Amino acid sequence: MRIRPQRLRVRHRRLAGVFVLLAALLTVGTAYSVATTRTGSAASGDPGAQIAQGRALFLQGCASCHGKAGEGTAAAPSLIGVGAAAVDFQVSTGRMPLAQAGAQAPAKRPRYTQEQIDALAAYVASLGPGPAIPGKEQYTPPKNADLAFGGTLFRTNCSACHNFTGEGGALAYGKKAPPLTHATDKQLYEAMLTGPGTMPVFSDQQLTPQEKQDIIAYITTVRSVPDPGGFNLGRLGPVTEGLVGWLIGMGVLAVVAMWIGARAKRAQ
Amino acid sequence: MTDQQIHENRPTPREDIRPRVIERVIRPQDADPRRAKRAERIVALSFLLSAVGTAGFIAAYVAFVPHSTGSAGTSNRWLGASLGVALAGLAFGLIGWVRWLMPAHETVEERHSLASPERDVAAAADIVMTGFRETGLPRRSLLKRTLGLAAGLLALPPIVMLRDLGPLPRTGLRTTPWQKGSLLYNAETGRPVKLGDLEVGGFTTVLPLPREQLSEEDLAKSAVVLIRLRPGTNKPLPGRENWAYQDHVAYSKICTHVGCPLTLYEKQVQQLLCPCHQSTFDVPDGAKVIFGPAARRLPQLPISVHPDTGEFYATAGFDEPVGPSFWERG
Repeated sequence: MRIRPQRLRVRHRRLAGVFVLLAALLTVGTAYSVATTRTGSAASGDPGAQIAQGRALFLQGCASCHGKAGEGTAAAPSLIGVGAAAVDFQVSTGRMPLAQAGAQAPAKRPRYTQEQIDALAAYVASLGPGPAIPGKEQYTPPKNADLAFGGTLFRTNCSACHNFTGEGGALAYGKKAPPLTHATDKQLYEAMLTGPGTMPVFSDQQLTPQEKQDIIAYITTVRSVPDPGGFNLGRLGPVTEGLVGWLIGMGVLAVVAMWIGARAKRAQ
Repeated sequence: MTDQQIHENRPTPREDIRPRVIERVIRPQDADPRRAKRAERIVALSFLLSAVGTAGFIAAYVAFVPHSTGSAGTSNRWLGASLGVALAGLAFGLIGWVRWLMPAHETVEERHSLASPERDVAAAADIVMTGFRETGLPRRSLLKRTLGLAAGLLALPPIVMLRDLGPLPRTGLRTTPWQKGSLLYNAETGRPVKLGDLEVGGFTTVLPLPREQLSEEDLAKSAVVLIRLRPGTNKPLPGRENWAYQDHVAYSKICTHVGCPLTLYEKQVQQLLCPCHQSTFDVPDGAKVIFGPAARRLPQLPISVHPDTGEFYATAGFDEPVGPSFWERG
C-alpha cells in the first residue's frame, strides 16, 4: 500500500523523460526544417537528395576547372569553404560557368534555374563551412532604412571602385568593378558577404546586416533617381559631360563653320 | 589723318602671296531662276520651322509644369528640343539665304598699316616728356625720396598678409593622434574593431577615436586601413616582425604622393591602389610602391590585440610623418 504511490511516481518520471525527449526531437526537427527552408531550397525536405543533385550538376558543369571535389586546379580556385552564398552570387549573375578565360568573369544571362543553383550551392556548402545564402528578411532593407548612413558607408567602403552612384569603374590588371545598376538586393548582400573576385570581404561583424541593408537601400535609391537633364552619360560626372561637350558640340560647330565658309558651288 | 593718307602709307602687297580674287561666281541659283525660287522656298520653310519651334517652346512651357524630378525631366526635354528647332531653323535659313541667294562676288577689304605714323609717335612722346619735365622731379629730391619711401612701403602689406595663409604647422605634420594603446575604431560605425571582425580578404578604415571626438585636422591625418591578408603572405620588414597581428596589418590610408585616401583594395593581388594617380602599394611587402608617382611606402602602424577584450590597439604611434612629402621632412 505504501509502495504504490512511489511506483506511480517512478512511472511518472519515466513518462516525463519520454515526453521531454519527444519535445526535444520535435523542437530540433522543426528548427532544422525552418533552417533548411530559410536557405532557400526548392528541393526541400531531403537535403541529401539536393546535395546529390548539386553534385551531379557540379560534375557536369564545374568540375573541369574546379576539380572533381571542388579542390581547385591551376585554372580555377578551390571551392572548399567558399559557402553557398558565393555559389548563389556567381551562378545567379551568370558569371559562372565561365564562357572563356579572361581577366575577369563577366556577368551574363544565368545558365541554371534557381532550383539548380540552390542544389549547386548546397553541394558546395557541404564541402566546407562558409557563408550561407542570406534569407529574404536578411537582405531586404526595411522601409525606414538609414539612406544617409548607407551613403556614408558606401562612399567609404565601395565608391573607390564602384563609383559614388554605383556605375562601376576600372581596376588594375584589366579588371573592372561592375556597375551595380542591375544587381538584386540578394546579390548585393552576397557580394559584400563573400567578396567575389578581387572585391574585399565585408563580414557581418564588420558591417552588420542592418548596415548592409542601409547600403543596399542607398544603392537602389540612387540608381532609381530620374535624370532631369535627359542623357545621364553613365552618371560619370563632369568629365564625361565635358568630353561630350568638346568632342560632339565643338565638332558640330566646326562642321557648320566650314559649311558657312565653303566656296559657293558653280553652275555647270 | 585722312583715309587717303593711310592708303598712301600702306606698303604695296606682294602679288605672289595675295589670294586670287574671284570677282564673280555663277551659281546654279544665278543661272536658273527656278533653282533660285526653290532655294528661296527652302529658306522660307526653314524660317517657318523656326517659328513653329518657338510656338512649341511656349506651348511646352505652359503644358509641362515641373513639380517633380520626373516632370522636370519631361519639361526640360521639350523646352530644349523646341528651342533647338527654333534656333537651328533660323540659323539654317540665314546661312542658306547667304549661300544661295545673296550676291556671290568676292571683295577685298584692305587693311591699314598697324603702326601709327611717325608724326603721331613723336607727338605722343613729346606729351610724355613735357609732363615729366613739369613735375620737376629731377630737381626736387625731397619729393623724390618721400615718394619712393611711400611707394616702396606699399609693397610690404601683401607680404605681411601672407600670415593669413594659416598658422604654422609646427609639429602638426609629424604627429597624429595615434599613440600607444589607441583602439582601432571603425571610421563610420565607431565600434572598436575586434579580432575576427574581418574575414580573410577584408579591409576597413579605422580611427584612433570615434569620429566625432576628432578635430577636422586630426581626422584628416589619422585615417588608417586595417587589412586581413591571406594567412602566411605577410613579409614583414626587418625590425617590424611584431607589427602585424595574425595576418592583420595596419597602414596609413593617406597616399604618400599627394594625400588622396587609399580606398581601392584589390583582394586577389593584395594591393592598395590610389584612385587619384594610380600609385599602387603592395600590402604584404611592407606597402612598397610598385607603380605610380608615389615615392615612399605607406607608414605602418604597429598593432596588437587585447587578450581580454579581443580589441585591436596600436602598440605605438607612427614612427614617421604620414601623408605626402613636405619641404623639411628630411
